[in-house]
Amino acid sequence: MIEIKNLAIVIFVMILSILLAIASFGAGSPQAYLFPRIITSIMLLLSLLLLVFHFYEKNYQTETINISKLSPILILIIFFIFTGEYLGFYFSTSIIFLTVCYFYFPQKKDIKKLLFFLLIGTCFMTTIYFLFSFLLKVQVPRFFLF
Amino acid sequence: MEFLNYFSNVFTFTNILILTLGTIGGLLMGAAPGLSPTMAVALLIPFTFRMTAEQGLIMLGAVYTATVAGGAISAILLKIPGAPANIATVIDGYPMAKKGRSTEALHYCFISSFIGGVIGILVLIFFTPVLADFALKFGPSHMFWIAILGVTVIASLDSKSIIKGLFSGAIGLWLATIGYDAILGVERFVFNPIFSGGINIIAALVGLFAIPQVLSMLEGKQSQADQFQMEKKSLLESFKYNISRIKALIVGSVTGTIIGLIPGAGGQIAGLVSYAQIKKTSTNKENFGKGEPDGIIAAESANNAMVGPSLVPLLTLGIPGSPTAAVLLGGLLIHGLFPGSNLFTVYAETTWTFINSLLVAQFMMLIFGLYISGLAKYVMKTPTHYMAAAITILAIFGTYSVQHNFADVIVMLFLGTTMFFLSKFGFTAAPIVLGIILGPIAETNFNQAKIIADTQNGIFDYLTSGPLNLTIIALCLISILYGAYGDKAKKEKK
Repeated sequence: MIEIKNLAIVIFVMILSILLAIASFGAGSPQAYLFPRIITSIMLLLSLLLLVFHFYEKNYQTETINISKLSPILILIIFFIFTGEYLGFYFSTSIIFLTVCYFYFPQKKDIKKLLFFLLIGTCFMTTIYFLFSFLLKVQVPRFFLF
Repeated sequence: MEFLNYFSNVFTFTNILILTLGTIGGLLMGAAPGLSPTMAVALLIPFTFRMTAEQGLIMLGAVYTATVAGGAISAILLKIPGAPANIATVIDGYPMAKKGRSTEALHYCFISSFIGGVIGILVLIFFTPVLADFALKFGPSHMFWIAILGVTVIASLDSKSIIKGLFSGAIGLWLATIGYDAILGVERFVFNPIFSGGINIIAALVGLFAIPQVLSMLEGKQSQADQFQMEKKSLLESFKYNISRIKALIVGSVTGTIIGLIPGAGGQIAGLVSYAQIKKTSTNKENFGKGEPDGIIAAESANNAMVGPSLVPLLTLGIPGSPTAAVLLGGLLIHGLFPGSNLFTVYAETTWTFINSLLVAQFMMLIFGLYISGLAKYVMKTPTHYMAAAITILAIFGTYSVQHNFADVIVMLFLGTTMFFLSKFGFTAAPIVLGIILGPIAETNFNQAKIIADTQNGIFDYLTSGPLNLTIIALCLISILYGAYGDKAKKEKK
């Protein structure tokens, strides 16, 4: 469980606005960058207002994020971003399906349950395969046979 | 009565098949807690990419209509609204089910959704061409302000804080500038070659709406709500009773229609406002919250009456009447259709077939809704881990299928994960999405206005002169002030 304070988000928003403003104002061709410059100026103003209101309203709101519960899916997302293209979509998303089902199953897990998830996963991925490869003719990156 | 010329187009075999599948699928998706209409439409847009514009819009329209109504099934049987639009339905729907009147509650829900929906679509049919003709008078400066109005309205109504809402909208507008400048052809903010084509609307839509929902599902506790046996109840009896509650139907349908016409408001507000109205004017106020049918009738007729009118500002001005309509705007754009009078002249056949299909979808929603609500209980039982895994995989494949570009999938996953963390602090996806969609419209018209203004008294004078410009600017300011007032009222209530 991690706690994030409202101030941290306000600072994040300010840094983001400053970075985008630097990118917009530091680039060439003033004509092409006029609109982004107006937008980032507004973003700077709004982030400043957020900071002012944070202290004025004494908004010390803290939000908790159950990072231990979320870490499997976040790791899977990172895993997919780096390997999805090489391992193939069907193979890597099957891993996502099985891992999500296994980790987030609320009751006791055993080999029988794992085999059940494998069966459900196979059925679901077969449906996806027929839907995308046969009906929609989408050629996704593949690995070995699938 | 131009719409009648294209009515037969809806009844081709393919269109009816799409309507049927869209309606049944929408009802089941709506019944699944966590699958909101906005997310359902966003997930389906990639699938419509290979259809014709007409077929794609029919599918999205049917799903939009059916998910709003389907959300009431889990609201009544599980006390979990399938969509935000069904929050008000829970208040009396669940107590009715608890009393052994779940079938009766579902009958009222679908009958009143149908009546409200038909009224809403008739408003869409008769109002849209008038407003579209009016939109012909709009020049670049007006279109620029209209795009800004779309962002400010949704920022003020769909966010917990007006500043955060406006900031989200600004992020969307900035994201829309990534890629090539439309007028000068200059490459902007392409830090990595994967961004050279800009941010794909579908990738943003799917990521911002689906991924935060998946993460929320997996972070939360599994809810095991009670399920009720469905009693036998005569449909005709329910129909007669429903029609006899004319006051609740009128309050719901009129409130839903008005709220639908207000850009950005959406079904949640429609349902809650009409519920409050019928309760206030009812002679048996004490029954509300304990299983009063009028509560369901008013809320459900309102949230479906909102669907049609929410498309009026969308089809004419490009300002969505609800967050789902904002996503639908993405669906229009990927099929090469731009809001405005062209929709009713150049693309009249596609537009009217789409609008007519929404009317037919109301009948299908009624027929299938009444029969499918029993089946929907199996969908509602789908465990969260299966649902989350399935949505993630559909989001990945759906996003990739649009351009066959892995970069779109990376953008989708990145935007979605970031949105999940930002949503914890009151930032919402709808203003970002609308910023991305309306950004190019705003920038192109701003640049055109600047070219014209350079030959006159300058850009500021050009953008702020004339009654129409001033009216739209005033509406922008009113929406911001309304949002600020809402924030203040919420804080005082706390």
